[in-house]
Amino acid sequence: MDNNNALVYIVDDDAAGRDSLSLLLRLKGFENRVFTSAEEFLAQYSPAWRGCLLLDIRMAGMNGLALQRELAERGSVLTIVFITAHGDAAKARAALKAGAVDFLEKPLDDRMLLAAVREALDRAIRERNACEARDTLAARLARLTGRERQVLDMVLEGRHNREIAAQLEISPRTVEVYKARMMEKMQARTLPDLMRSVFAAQSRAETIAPTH
Amino acid sequence: MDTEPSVRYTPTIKVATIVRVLAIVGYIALYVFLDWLSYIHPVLPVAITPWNPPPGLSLVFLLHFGLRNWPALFVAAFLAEVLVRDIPAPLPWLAFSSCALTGCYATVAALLADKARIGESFDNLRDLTRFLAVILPGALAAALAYVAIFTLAGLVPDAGFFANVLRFWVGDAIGIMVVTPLLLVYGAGNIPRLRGGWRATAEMMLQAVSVLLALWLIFGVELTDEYKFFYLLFLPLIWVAMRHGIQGATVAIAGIQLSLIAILQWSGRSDTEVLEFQLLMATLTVTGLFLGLAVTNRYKVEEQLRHRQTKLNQALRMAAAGEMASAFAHELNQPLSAISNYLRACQTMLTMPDDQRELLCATMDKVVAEAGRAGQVMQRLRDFYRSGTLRLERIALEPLLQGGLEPLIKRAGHHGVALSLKVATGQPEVLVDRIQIETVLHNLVGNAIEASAASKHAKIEVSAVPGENGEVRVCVADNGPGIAPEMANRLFEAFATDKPDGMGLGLAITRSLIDAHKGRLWAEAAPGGGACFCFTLPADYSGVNDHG
Repeated sequence: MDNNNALVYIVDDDAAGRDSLSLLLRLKGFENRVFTSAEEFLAQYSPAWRGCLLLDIRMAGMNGLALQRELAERGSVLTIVFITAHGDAAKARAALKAGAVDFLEKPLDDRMLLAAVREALDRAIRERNACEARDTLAARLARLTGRERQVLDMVLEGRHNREIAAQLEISPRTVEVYKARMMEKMQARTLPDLMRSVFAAQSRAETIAPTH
Repeated sequence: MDTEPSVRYTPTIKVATIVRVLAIVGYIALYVFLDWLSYIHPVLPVAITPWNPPPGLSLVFLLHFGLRNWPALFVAAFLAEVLVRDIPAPLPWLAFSSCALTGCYATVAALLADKARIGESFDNLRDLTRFLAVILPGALAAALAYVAIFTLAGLVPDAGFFANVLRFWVGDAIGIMVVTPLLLVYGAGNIPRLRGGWRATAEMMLQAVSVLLALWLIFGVELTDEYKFFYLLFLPLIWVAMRHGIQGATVAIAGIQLSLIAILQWSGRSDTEVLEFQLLMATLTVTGLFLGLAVTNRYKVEEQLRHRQTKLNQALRMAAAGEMASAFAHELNQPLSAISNYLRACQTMLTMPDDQRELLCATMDKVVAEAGRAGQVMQRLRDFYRSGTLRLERIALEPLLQGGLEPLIKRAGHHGVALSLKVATGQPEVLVDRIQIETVLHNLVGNAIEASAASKHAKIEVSAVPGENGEVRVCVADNGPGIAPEMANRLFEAFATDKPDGMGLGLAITRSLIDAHKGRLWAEAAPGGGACFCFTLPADYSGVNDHG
């Protein structure tokens, strides 16, 4: 698992809060960047960013919840941990419902903070891996011909070569050929390999929608 | 020391019985006295008078002490017949007539208590309507029975039957209308506190004078027709009723009735004339009673409204305080959180292999800076409360304390606590924020009420005496259980409380308010065993004459 380019992004309008969080996390081994406001963060935001967001919920201007919504609309994969100096059950619930990893109250308990940041990064990395697997699979699937795709679907359904031949009204020998080409393009040496790579993308239904 | 097995003498006659006997005797004596007093213009030989207040007394007696005391009515009526009226009839006839009166008025009292639900109180218009609906037929029944009995006895000529019934009816009805409401309104424990000092006294004097003036215009000035000008009496009565409600109206009506009877007696009017005046008087009485009750009701509604408004204001203040506290918590949490983060970072630096001294120093500087910021938040809060509200005014001590205690009198009474104020004479003026000192009194006396409410004969004494160095010392002493030893040390700390629903801020706030006035607040044991909270205020003696 590489988290080399996974960062913690800190958005807090309180200067000392920002600075102290940044220092503590850096010392604990989490590389981070700080932003003074939601607006500043959005101005610099790139979809390529990976990692988690430590977000103050109550800020002048755009608040934390609004930033969460905006990022969700932009399809961001950053996971979010909310922090607040002002316990507010309703806001906490809204944040968690909208997919936040955790909701922490100031003054922060450092163990809870680190645990939350770790979990958020883990989740971010898992998501990214899933995302990448999806992308790879999509790219490989795109290279298949119509026949190869049909053979793939049937193989995944657990059909034998003879059944596939009967269904597609071609000789079992030809099925063998299609299957070999398909396996090559999918970069799978064995059937379990193929299965794994497809399931790793986790959204078989979307990616491998039946074409017939 | 051996304790003797004590056989305690328990009095066989209970206190309640003694009270009852005294009430009965007193009632009978008063009845006979009233009968004697109102024994004017009698239509002889059966002595029917145009103003007969004793039945009014009888009704109040039965309503207050219970219907089971009805035999006293008979005794009183019989004694009055024999002693006052001197009716030339054999005793059995007098006993018979007394029986009839007793029966009528005991029934009236029963109807008032049961159907009209008029007991101790007499405070709304429906009460009055029902009252009149019961007593008017009741008095008529009494009149019919009484006159019929003596007609049968041959003492009254048949020809004057209805005239005598009318005379009796008017005399009794107006007697009841004047006496019963007066006594019910001023009955046990209902005596209203007169307030307002000399202005109110002066107004009442003026009202009395205006009644006398009206009477003089009617009866004293030759030019005016007495009947045509009788309406003049309505004016002072309306004035009194508008200002003092039913309490004033009943007194004014009684005063007017007494004066009227005295004038008529003194100027030697004919029986018919007296009866005519009494009919006018009955109109006046009914008007006064209705107006008085209407005004009293309006005052009551206003009072309730004010009470609700006060509660609402309190709720709003609490909400505002909650909002403040929330904002304050947010402000304070920011630096605290930063401090906590920085310190954890420092800890981490200390566990690192390479030397982090420089960063450590810099970080610790930041911690100090954040602690300072937290302090500033506190300072801002204090400034807000102080500069925002401390509005000093020069005010004499006694009105200041009276004003502060005014809203608490009801609450104390509600809890059965006697609240008194003692201010030594020659007390100076003080330079204070009136609202804040009222808050202080509210907190201290409020605590004292809660502390002493459970004890017997609970009382709270607020006193003001000269203190040291030209200060005044105000003490709030109760006779509750006193201050618990485990609370004594933390008494003035915030959030220290032994009340289940208390915040523990009252005394802390009180102390800071007194601090802001450069005074001191402390607690000591009260002489009677309860708690005593004292505070000092800087005084200004320049306005006080130095008499000692």
